[in-house]
Amino acid sequence: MSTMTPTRRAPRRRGLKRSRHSRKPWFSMAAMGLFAFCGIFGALIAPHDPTQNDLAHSLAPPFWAEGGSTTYLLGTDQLGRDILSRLLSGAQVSFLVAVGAVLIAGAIGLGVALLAGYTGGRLDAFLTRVADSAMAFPVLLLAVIVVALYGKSITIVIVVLVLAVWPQYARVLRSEVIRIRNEDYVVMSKVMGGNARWAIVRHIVPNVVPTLLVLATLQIGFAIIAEGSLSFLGIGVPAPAASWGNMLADGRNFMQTAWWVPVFPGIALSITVLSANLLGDWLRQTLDPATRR
Amino acid sequence: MLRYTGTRFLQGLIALFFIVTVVFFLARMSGDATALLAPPDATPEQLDAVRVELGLDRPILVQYWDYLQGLVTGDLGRSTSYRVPVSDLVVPGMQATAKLALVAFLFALVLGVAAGALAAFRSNTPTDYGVRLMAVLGQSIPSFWLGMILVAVFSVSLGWFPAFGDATATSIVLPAISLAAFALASIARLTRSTVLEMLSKDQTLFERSKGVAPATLVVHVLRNSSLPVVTLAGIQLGALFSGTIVIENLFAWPGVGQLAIQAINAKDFALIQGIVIVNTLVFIALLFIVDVLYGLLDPRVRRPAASRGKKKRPTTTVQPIDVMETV
Repeated sequence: MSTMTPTRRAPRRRGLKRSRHSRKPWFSMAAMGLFAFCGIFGALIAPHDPTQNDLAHSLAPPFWAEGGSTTYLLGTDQLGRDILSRLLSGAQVSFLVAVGAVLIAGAIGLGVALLAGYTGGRLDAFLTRVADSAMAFPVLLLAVIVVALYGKSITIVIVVLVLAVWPQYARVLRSEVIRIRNEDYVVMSKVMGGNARWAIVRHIVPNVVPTLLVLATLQIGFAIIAEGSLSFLGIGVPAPAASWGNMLADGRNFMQTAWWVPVFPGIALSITVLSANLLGDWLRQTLDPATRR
Repeated sequence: MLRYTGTRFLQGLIALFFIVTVVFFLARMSGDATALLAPPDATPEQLDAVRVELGLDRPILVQYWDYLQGLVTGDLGRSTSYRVPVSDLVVPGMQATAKLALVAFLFALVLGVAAGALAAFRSNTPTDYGVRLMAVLGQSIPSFWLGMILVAVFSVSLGWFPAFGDATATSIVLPAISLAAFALASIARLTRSTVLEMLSKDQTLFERSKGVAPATLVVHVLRNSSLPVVTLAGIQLGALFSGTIVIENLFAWPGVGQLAIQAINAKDFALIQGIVIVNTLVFIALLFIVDVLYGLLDPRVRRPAASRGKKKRPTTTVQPIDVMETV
């Protein structure tokens, strides 16, 4: 982190906790790596077309179970679609939605935070109030209205998540911006004739990057769960496209008779979110920015 | 305190008015409102009839004014799919939703605080590790997947609880647990870290060295840790109310969440609009209650000097706690 300017800050009283968490979370990193890989290259490595029905082989079990074959490694669902291919396709959906929503919301949040935090005054008060109100509005309810008005699609899912998530960035980053703006070195740069743009680009933005990174990682888990919930409800990614959420919805009646239909997407969803959360927690403890909770 | 409560109440009303206005104009802006509010299979003549009947041929501001007047008197319009007034559907639905959300909330709050405090007082013991593991898992497993697992184990295999509906008294157990898991985990984590921080304060050390009874110490520490937890609990209660959408549809619980999905599938916009408005009302009422509670718990919040200026609203901010002031 060569761009980081050392800040004069009293060490927080969290050293005790940090030492316990300093181990690198290899498991989470590996799982997130796998998730990113499947999210980018899923379509290339999928053995079948994820939306191709094959009613002759519906509800085929995974290859190691009795009656399973290596044609469908993880079995098929009630329409004979290959579970593995659908999992990979679902990973692409989750990855696209999570990364898209988190990046766009992060950019908006950072912009608002810089504007509000650096300018201060009335604009700051107004933007803070807007962010507070937007944050108070529940995501799922927002999704219900937006979907009712504009129909369902991946784009709508991303839009809903961006609307739900940006205030979090804005709020946390705003207080960071204010803190950094008042640091001596930023004040000095102004004294020496640096303009606002210089202060923002050279000093403030590089210093909020750690906070941004932690927030983004923690939001990935949230975004994946939210996309899953919407798709599970049938108001997210529309069928027949595969998403882990609608795979679970398809498989909800097969927990006893064909466990592989719901269990694989359930595990994929849980492990991905768990890894994102563990990674975010570790990053937070390592980088120790302003985020808490 | 009265002035503080009054301000908060007014802010709540403004927020509600804002949401109502946005929903109203969004519906009007997204094309022909008649198509949204009429049954999907209506003929052009029927559409015209609906337009005149609902007054959609009048200027938009007149419609808006009428709509606001209707809301004040409790008139939310007519559901096009059920062909009854929206309020007849939303009110009983909201009761079922509130029952589920409140049971889940109590469960999450009591168990979350207990588990978090236990973990903090026994930090770095197996109890602590266990609580932390469960908390991380609870925050990571999606509620609907947890619900499916619970149904498979506790209703299909063991037959202890019903898998859906609200026919018996025990029907609420599985949906409430699935719904509560995330909030429980969050509350447990925050309680743990707040109590840990409190335990490391000089004032706790002072109490210890003074020989205060352990039980009293626990009470003091918990009371001083209550502010962030109350804030989070308020946020989580709101989240539980909207989180019921997923759980209600999984467990066929007859609340507004199930109604909302039916309304979307039936393209019944009047019903959706009603659900959103009633939900927002409940949500804002909850925020208001949390704000008032906050004012009661922390005198600094309600002091005019603290509420003036550009301070952040206390409802959504974890306030720094100055312990020397409260003990």
